[in-house]
Amino acid sequence: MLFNSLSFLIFFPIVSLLYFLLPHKLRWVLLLLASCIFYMAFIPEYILILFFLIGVDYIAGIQIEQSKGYKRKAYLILSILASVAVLFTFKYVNFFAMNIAQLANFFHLNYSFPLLKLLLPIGLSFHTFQSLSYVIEVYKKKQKAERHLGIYALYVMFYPQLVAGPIERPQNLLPQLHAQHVFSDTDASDGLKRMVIGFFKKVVIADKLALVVNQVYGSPQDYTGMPLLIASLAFAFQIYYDFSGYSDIAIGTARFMGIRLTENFHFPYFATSLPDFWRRWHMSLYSWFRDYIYIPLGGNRVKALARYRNILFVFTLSGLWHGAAWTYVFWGFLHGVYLILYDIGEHAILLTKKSLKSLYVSPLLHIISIGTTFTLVCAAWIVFRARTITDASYIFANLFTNIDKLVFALIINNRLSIDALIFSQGKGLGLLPEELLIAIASLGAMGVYEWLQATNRVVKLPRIVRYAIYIIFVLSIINLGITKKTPFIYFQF
Amino acid sequence: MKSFLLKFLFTSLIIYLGQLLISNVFPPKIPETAVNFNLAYHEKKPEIMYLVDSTDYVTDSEEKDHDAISLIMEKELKCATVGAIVQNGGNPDIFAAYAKFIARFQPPPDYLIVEINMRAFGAAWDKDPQFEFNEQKLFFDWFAETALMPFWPFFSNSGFINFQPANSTTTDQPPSIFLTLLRKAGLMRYPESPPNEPYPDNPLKNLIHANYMNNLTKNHRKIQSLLRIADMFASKKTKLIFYFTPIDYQPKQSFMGDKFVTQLKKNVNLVKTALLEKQVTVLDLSTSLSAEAFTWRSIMKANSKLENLYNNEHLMAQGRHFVAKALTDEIGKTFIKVCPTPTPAASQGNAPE
Repeated sequence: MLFNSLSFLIFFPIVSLLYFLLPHKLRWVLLLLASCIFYMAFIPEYILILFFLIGVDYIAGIQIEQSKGYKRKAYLILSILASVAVLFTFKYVNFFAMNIAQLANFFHLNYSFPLLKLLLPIGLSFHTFQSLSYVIEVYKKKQKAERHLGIYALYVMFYPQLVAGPIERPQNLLPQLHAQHVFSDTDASDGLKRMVIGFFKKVVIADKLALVVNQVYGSPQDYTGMPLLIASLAFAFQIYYDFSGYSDIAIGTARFMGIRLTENFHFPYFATSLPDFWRRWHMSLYSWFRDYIYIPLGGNRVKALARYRNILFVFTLSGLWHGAAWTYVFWGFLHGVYLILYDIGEHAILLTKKSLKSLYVSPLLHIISIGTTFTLVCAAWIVFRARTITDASYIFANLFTNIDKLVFALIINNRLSIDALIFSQGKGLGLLPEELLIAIASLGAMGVYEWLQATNRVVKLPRIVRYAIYIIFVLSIINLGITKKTPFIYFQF
Repeated sequence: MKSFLLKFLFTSLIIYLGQLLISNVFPPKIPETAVNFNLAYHEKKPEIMYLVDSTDYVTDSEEKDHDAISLIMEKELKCATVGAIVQNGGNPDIFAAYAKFIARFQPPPDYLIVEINMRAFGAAWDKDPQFEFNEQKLFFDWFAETALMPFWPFFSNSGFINFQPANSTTTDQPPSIFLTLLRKAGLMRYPESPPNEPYPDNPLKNLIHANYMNNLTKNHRKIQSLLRIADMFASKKTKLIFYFTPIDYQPKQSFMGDKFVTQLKKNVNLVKTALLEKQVTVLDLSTSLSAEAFTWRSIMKANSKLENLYNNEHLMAQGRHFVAKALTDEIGKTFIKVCPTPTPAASQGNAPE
């Protein structure tokens, strides 16, 4: 079930109402049933995969806790292998088969591997990682094995975060699923407000920008210059508002029931450096990679070369986590390279910043840092969104073509040239100029709201102003939102 | 919880009032054709509504017989009125949206004919945005109800649809568009799920494969849309007639081999079985016509690069008459309407001027 669907608008109030009407001991049953219905709205039979993962990790958790010595590790490895095998079968096997076949073809070897006709279960990477997180935490003795199968199943399947996170740690979610929550006006209204913000991000901003992105990135060779630049910028905001919109709705939905989910974003485009960006973007996934892969590999304690190797490995792996395509792998690798270069130049950067600070240019420096980080992130998004590496290379090569002509047309206000250089290339930009302006205005409004929130100013606003802000957001969703059911980007991962 | 519910109700009221204000300042745009449909339906009160794609009308500029299937039916049935909604692409999703709208009319039509073009189920059209009609679907499926919500207290004229009266013989979709489509066959993009392209060196074969030879399953959303139409009218007096429009199978069979017809039949049977379970009438005309009944001669003449095959279902007059006859035969089994007899004065030529 999509959050941005009529079904969810009916599903959510019914489930939430029943949740508070039912006695505590039956609530897990309700939530588990609701989660099954939510998941089965996509491909019903794939719920069996979830049950398999739940069964394996539930047993593994108990066995790990009860065993000693090498057996603990054996159970952990078995559980990890089971999860990885499921992930590999459904997500990666065709990718590897095709690449091996291509490699064999390159060496003139007649090799082919039958491709599996499987659809990727929605959100598989998310619940696999959440399930793995539980087993690893039990192994590390930081979490007791969950004995209640229903509660454990709910930990993996809790519907608000089932298909696209946040990837929860057992220490945060399991106790909350056991706890008895009473209806709280504050939680309910905070939850709804958060959902409103999420819906605004998704249907007013992300889905509208998606029209431009899909149009241009669908056949980039039909465009040069400004449309490519606009679509690339649009994608940077689309992916952020699509995913953070989903997270807001998930967090708000859970919050309504008194359950607090982990935050996934912290104003990432206000980051002043690449490491800062990764502390703000998809936080639940990157803390997962940090805690379960990067630190066990040695983390920051090893020598520089080994550290760089680890950074490259973790980020390339995180790229592959997003999807079985070279574009994702390269995107992850590119971020790894960014971080290594930052690490190498960090001393010089900090020294420059320090000396410039003494020249009282701190605010300007701050803006330059944010701008530079944003530019680098956007460049990597081009690789992420392009259908192929060839498309990405084309976009990079043609991003600034004819910009001089556009500047000149803007100076002399030659509308025909402006139109030809922006809106009339290929099959058009996907949005009319006035629609694009509305999208930009919505983006600006959300930017201001986020800035107010980042600087803790929203709570300081008079109550009536805050109330008006949320009313405006709701009315914008009704009047400006894209009502077509567009899946969230991160569902495919 | 009580105080929360009160606050929630109050906020809902504020939102509703806000929406009223916005809707009065920026009233929703109701397509003119949609309003016209409503008016035309209530004025003409067609007994037969016909959801069809471009196979309804004449597309060959050299043809002399310009009667669309809907008009031929009207002539055959003498005094029946046929209302045709012609939407290129034969997409059952948009047909379902129209049907949803028609189902609300009082009185409902006696018959609803729904054309099924198997090409519409192929991957090529299935994923081609120009045949998705998302805006129309949105409008007729939801928008007409939800976007007008603020007008409920004040708005009574609640019917709109794209309507083409039966006597229209327009060719609003010039063949050049189809030719462009065909020329671009090798360049067509399938952003969501690329179909198999088993003929790397033959774009036309790939196109035909992508048009007709997908292995359909009952879960296909367009089959579900057809079933949805059947459900919509299950409890109404309207009789549903689904028919598979003829496919120009002969040249495709010689071009692709027997597997073309085998797969086509397999898919047709799947759709047919699913519909028959809903106890509606289904006519399978998919392989009833030979190549001469399709419009390809003038197009072939205009373009020498077409490899002796023009991939379409547009019908020549004989094809349109064949389909119209099959439909009127079916309707004739149950259609009863006494045509108004001319007054004696009129028959004697003494009608007042």
